[in-house]
Amino acid sequence: MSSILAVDDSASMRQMIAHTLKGAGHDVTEAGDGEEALGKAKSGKFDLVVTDINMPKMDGITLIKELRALANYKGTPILTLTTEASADKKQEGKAAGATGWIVKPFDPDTLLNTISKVLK
Amino acid sequence: MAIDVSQFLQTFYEESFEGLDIMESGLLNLDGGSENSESINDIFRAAHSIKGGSGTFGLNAVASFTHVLESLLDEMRDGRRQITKEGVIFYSNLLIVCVKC
Repeated sequence: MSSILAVDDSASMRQMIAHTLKGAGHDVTEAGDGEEALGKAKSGKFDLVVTDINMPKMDGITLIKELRALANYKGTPILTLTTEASADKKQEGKAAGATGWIVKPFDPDTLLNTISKVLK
Repeated sequence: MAIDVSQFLQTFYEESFEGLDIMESGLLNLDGGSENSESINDIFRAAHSIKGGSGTFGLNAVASFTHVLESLLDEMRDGRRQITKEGVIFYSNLLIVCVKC
């Protein structure tokens, strides 16, 4: 079981992500935007972060950069889960420190398989 | 892992109606020609969010429609498509039709 921070401004999407991850035995903490996620990340230590990109207050790319600047999260896998599919945006995410990029609409098995790979 | 997505639909519908309200307010703030980037971004983010959810929850017609909408908004955002009064009226009417559906 891993401790996962799931970040998405859509409540229905957070419900589905949390349902998927909890179903696989993971412990899930939810955040509705980058700011909330950063606060929760600083007050705890997660094994993995799954984040949306387009969010109010603080977007996913900024969140990844902020997390990578923290000693606790330099090597933590960070996956994006987003409708953004452009090569430019993916490159921006990679440069910021994203470990992997999953495009919505997503299949629960794809998310779980990717998580298994990056947590190994 | 098979997931019954119907359990998330009620929340998705509530979010989508909030998104449509944001889109309506954003459209009403567009005045055709002057700086509209904030309103366009608000509308874009709402459409983007509805697109992501509808695709994931199997509402493919909504996903296709919001994909087109998102592309048009993207063109407005980077200046490839002009914002005109006629365009704003068209999109407002389109939105009203969507809500009624």
